[in-house]
Amino acid sequence: MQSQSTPDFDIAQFKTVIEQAPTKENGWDLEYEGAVDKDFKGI
Amino acid sequence: MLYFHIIDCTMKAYKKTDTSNGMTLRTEVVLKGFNAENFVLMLRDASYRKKMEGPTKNFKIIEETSKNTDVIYFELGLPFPLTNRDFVQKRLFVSNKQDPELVAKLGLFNWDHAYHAILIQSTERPEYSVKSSPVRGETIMHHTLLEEDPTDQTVLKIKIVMSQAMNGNLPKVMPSGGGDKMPRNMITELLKSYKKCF
Repeated sequence: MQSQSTPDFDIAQFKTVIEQAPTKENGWDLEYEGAVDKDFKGI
Repeated sequence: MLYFHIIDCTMKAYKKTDTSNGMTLRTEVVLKGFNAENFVLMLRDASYRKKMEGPTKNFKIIEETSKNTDVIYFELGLPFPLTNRDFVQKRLFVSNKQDPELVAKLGLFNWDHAYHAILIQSTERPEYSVKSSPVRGETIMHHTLLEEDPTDQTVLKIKIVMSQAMNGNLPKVMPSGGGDKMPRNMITELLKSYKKCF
């Protein structure tokens, strides 16, 4: 049976980047906002 | 519970140009009629990966290192005259409903509603050594959270934050010009792949 070892994954980084708001102050530029199923054909 | 059709999909895509040879991308998607388990299966299982849309090729699972982790290899096809990149990555898949002990051990989110966390980072394997072509890319982080809406189990929120260094020589225009549409392209390829697979 395989173990549950999880070596060297940066859990703290994961939680931080997922929870951080993507604001201008945090360096983020919004490049798209919309309804994907309407804006892109074939989805 | 299985869903087979994407009913609605809204997306916000962000970029942060903070590295000399790459960028950090963030995509937030809200989907209705989309099954998280199928999404994870599509990313994880090599037979589904072969059906996926996009520039990824030669996908291989090098080793399943545990019930929740593996090491993979794949090549990223780039348009001529650019040299393809390749990646060796370690991946961690955690479901808070299926792996509560691992969630507690790792200190992941202690939420009642269902979520899947996928963490991906570059690693090394001697049998997949660095070559001149393809150029070895580096995944600094590629983190995905699939979160069920607590009030509506048919609604899934996906957050993806990805930072990659493409390394090697790239035209100056490539990281910004070519990368402008990367977040939305990444999602549209994933959604097309989902429709193809399920």
